[in-house]
Amino acid sequence: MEPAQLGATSRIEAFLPGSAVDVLRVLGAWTVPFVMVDAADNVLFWNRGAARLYGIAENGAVGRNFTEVVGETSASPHFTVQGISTRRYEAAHRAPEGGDLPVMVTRTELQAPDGTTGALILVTDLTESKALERRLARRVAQLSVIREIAECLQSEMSLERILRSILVGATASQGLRFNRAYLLLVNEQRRTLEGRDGIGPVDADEAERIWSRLAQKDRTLRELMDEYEPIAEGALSAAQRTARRLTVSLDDTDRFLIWALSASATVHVERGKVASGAGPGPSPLVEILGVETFVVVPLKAADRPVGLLIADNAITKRAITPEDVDMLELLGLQAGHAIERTRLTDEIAREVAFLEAATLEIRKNQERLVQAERLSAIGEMAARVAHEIRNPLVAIGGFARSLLQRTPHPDETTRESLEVIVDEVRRLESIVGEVLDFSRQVPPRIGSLDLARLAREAGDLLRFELEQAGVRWEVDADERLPAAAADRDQIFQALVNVLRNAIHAEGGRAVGPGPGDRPRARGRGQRHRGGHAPRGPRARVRAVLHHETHGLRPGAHHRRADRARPPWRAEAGQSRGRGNHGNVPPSRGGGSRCPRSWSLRTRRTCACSTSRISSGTDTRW
Amino acid sequence: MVEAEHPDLVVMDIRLPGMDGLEAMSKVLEKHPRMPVVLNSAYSSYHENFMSWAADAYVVKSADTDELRARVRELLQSRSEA
Repeated sequence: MEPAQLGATSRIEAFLPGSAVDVLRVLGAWTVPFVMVDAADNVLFWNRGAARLYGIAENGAVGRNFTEVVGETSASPHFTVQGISTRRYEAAHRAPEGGDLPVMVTRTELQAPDGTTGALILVTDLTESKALERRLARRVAQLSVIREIAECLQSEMSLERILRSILVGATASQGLRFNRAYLLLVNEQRRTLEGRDGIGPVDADEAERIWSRLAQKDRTLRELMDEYEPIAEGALSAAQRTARRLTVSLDDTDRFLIWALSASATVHVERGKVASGAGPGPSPLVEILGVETFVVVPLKAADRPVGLLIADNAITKRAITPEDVDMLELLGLQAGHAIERTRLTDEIAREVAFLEAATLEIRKNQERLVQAERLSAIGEMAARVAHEIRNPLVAIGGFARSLLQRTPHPDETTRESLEVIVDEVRRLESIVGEVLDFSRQVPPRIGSLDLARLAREAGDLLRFELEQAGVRWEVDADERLPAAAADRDQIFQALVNVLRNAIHAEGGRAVGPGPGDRPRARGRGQRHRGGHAPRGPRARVRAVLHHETHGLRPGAHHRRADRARPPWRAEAGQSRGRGNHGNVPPSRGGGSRCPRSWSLRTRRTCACSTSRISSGTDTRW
Repeated sequence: MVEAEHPDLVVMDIRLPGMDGLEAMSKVLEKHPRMPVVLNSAYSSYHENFMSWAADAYVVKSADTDELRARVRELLQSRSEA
């Protein structure tokens, strides 16, 4: 089509009265693209804004068809502005440098008084707003990914699954789309930053295989995370083996990874150097990862460093943009909290297990105590019955013997009758003795025994009574005390009996030199006298219980005692007081006087073999 | 009784009316530290009570007094030899 020959001014004047020329001059200089066309859509007026937008001067546009000049394509459906013959639509025009130029076209139809029609066209460049729209859409999509990852992390309780979910989220095409990622966690006990897991292909071929396979199965991010199965140590992938190599000591503060951990800020390494120029060189890490550009994001929980997340695009070499780093930091924030949550959950689970075990132990101890009380009551009742029976038997048997001895010539019947009485009384005494012995003796059940712990348990069981009686129970055991071979219940009962002895001995009438010197019972576990750890069948563990009590009646005498019931042997009650440390003054039978200010110290020892028990008349085991 | 009779040896029960036998023994020994004391009780469990260790012997009560006699004889003999 030939451009119109008429000058634009004369034709427009037909539409605009008065100072239309002045108006045109203003519109002409306007930077907003403004065009006038006639009924055939030929350009009548082309302002500076239009010239700049399309890169076409006025003389190159006037007289030509508007659609042709701007290369309009992809017009959206028009809509009419109410009350005015105006249409507005989006379209793609031709950009000066080539390619599409997104615009909004506002077209207002005009009619001159003489009936001539035309249109005013206002063009709005949408390039920037479209770019913003795209950025916004991308960001929304990324935040949706982060949200989905966060939801997955929140629903997981296993640390291994959480770590794997973080890595999948960082590398999946439905996630943050990095090529590879690695996770390192702080291990306070070992004082290390440990490489725990890694994900990603080792080279382009593997990447092609993996990504093609993943692309064939249309799965959501959640489904990808759920596919995780624990991998045996011997079947680690290359990425996982690489992660293991990243372990460093927390005390190596000059190492790049430890610096990144303590820096608490994301570190971007580009071409083998830290982008900000700070910190030690990342060369060792570059060598292990085999890539010079990567991002290191610290994982934190309540400002406490938990670990590091490392990500790179080693396969595609795609540049890591600030947006990528933002997203990775958001992921890192979620990851840090999720990891800390599992740690606290595990800690709580351990504490609960410990409390449950302790509660069970307390319940067992209570049952033992009840059983012990019951047996004690039975024993006491048996002793009382024995006493009640023995006394009359003594009288019956005693008088029968007396009659036998004093009657000079008893007749056969009388003698036989008296002998029967004596024999039957002897038999009854024997039966009473056997019943008492039976009620006390229990065959030992030998097992491995921690004497020190048992002593503490006995003290715990009777803590209240000990405190009430003002008795202090101390257990002083060699740290290397080996386990003893002994019957746990009998030893425990023996310990309880000794403590009860102490409690009853004090029984409210304990008097001592002062409150700092209360009566006390003390258990001590010792290794073999040779000083070395016991080994072999001759090894022994020696348990010694001391009971000190104050305020015996003046002049109270004590002798070497008979042997107590196994497994304890009661030794001499040795007096030990001020100025006399271990020397027992000679007296009758080895005994000694005990002045009021002195203490009676009794000692019972039990030697238990660690591996063999020798029985016999000796109560030592 | 001890004050009045000045015995060479005391044989006593533990369950006494009005007084604990161990306490009585303690009183005796307080005034007569060299007095041999034999506890003779139908209770065999006091044998394990360290408070009874102050006695020179502990014999469980029986119609057969042989053991009691033997212990008394033994203690009197050792006293006379001392």
